[in-house]
Amino acid sequence: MTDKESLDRVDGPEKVAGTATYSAEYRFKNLAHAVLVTSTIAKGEITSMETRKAERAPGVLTVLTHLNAPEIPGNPKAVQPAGRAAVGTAFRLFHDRYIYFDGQPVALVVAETAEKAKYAASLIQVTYQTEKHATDFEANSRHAALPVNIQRSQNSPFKDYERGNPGAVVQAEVKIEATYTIPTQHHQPLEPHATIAVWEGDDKLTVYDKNQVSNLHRETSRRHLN
Amino acid sequence: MKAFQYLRPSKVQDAIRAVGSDPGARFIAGGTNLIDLMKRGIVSPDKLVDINHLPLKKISYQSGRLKIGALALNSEVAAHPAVLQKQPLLAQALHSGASGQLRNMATMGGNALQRTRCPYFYDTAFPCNKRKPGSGCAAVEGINRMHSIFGVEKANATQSCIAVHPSDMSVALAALDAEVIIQGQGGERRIAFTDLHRLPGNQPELDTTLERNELITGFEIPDNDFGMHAHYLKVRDRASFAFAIVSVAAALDVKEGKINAARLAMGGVAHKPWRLFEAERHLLGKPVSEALFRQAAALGMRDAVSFGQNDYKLRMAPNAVVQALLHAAAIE
Ligand SMILES: Cc1cc2nc3c(=O)[nH]c(=O)nc-3n(C[C@H](O)[C@H](O)[C@H](O)COP(=O)(O)OP(=O)(O)OC[C@H]3O[C@@H](n4cnc5c(N)ncnc54)[C@H](O)[C@@H]3O)c2cc1C
Repeated sequence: MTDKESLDRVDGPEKVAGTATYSAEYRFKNLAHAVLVTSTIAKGEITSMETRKAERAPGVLTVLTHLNAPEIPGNPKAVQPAGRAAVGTAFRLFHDRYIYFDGQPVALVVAETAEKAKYAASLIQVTYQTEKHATDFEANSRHAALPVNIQRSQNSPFKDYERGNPGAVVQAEVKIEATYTIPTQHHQPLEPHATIAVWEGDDKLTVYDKNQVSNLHRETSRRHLN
Repeated sequence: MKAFQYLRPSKVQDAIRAVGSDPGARFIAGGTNLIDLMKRGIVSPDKLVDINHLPLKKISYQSGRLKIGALALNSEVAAHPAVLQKQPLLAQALHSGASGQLRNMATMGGNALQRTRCPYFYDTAFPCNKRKPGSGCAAVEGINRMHSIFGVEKANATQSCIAVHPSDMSVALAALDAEVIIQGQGGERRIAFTDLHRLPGNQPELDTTLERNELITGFEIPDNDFGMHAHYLKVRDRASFAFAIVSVAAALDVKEGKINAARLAMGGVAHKPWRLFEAERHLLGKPVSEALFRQAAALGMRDAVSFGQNDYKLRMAPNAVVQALLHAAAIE
């Protein structure tokens, strides 16, 4: 395929016409609904979680947090060192009391309806010990460094890019110096994130999910649930 | 979202009584703002009194006044012949707001009473004097590029509120000397539109001068001689479906080259639609010119303050005033 050719998206017409069925729109009997409670700080530790009111709210089936979440079968068994997981460690949901990012899921409320789950989720109180986070690119730019593993790799796509005659600027008669910044870019999918999982027998789980790579997602789910 | 009771009265007095008798009750019109606020846990009414079945949808023109019911839809008003003919500024402002779908749901009363879009008002994890009186203002030291430059004292800002009123329609109504018709349990009262919204002061939790159980039944705009010399300029991050960062409603009555009457109001700059009275007075009796408009805009900016990320508004606002006046005067 050349640059100029384009292929029609399989789901294009349905999405544009508003007739595409989104993951959350499949209907099943006895569907339970889960709502996440997410962290309100960017870095720190959970010091306490008050979940009793939510557990007793009408229609609530369970409340999961790092304090009671079951082991995930497919997670590597090797125990992580105590304390905050190192940079580059795969994120584990409801695994420890540490907050690694703003909006990190800290509890999951499962209830008979989405509304009941949402209401119960609003009753959960989390207290944190906040640590100083550094998320301001401007303010932290003087600490900027190229990660070692990227510098090492000759094939890295993140290497500096050179073209033409980079030294030419030194001899140039006229120079313009300016700082260019990129505005904030948000990833905004048409479809809201939602997943429905349906057990269709002891060893068969069908997952309806909003994702970009279905087969990868299937493999990850299979590995985790084992 | 908390479970709530839902009522649908068909008489104005029944609606007012239903809200008056229950401190947790709220009117709901198009619901395009209130439902969002409920979902985010910012307001949690235990009773919703749906006013959509009250007879308050009429738009008419009688004896020099354009009368618009509180439940007339933003889209209907923006397209109504009497509005387009008598008060084109209002049609322009309405048209610049939200999206087609939202304007088909949004009512005039609901638009005037929509709450601020300050991110800290929306995020219950942060302090916000408007949402939780006395908790502080996270915007003063935070992300404040959308925030106020008028109507707030810098020294007192963290005890007050630097959020802006987001409505476009209200900026036009403020400029056009509209009146608000209000029904309460005791009867009807009328106030100038410019007296509907308040400055935050030490009670930023109150957006308006309405009592909780008072219902807006309509708006009236008296005739004027601005004709087509009116312009609503909205500066925003996207060309459509975005709130104003700065907006200007400008209207001029020019007779024999001289300005006979002028109205100037701004949006996106204060806790309420902001009339530039002094700038308006400066224009009176003088011949139209860009230099004059620049002087007026500068006068309008005299009490402006800024909070860091919104410093740019100190330059953008007067430029927008000049642009709007040039458009209104049809000089380009
Ligand atoms: C994505 C989005 C983008 C938007 N962009 C813009 C924009 O660019 N410009 C703009 O101006 N607006 C914009 N809006 C806001 C929109 O204009 C308002 O949500 C709408 O006008 C509110 O009207 P409503 O009838 O739906 O009010 P509701 O949500 O029903 O009510 C709002 C409030 O008013 C009260 N209320 C309603 N009617 C009365 C009455 N008659 N008497 C007393 N109290 C009453 C309710 O109790 C409630 O507190 C946007 C909204 C959304 C969701």
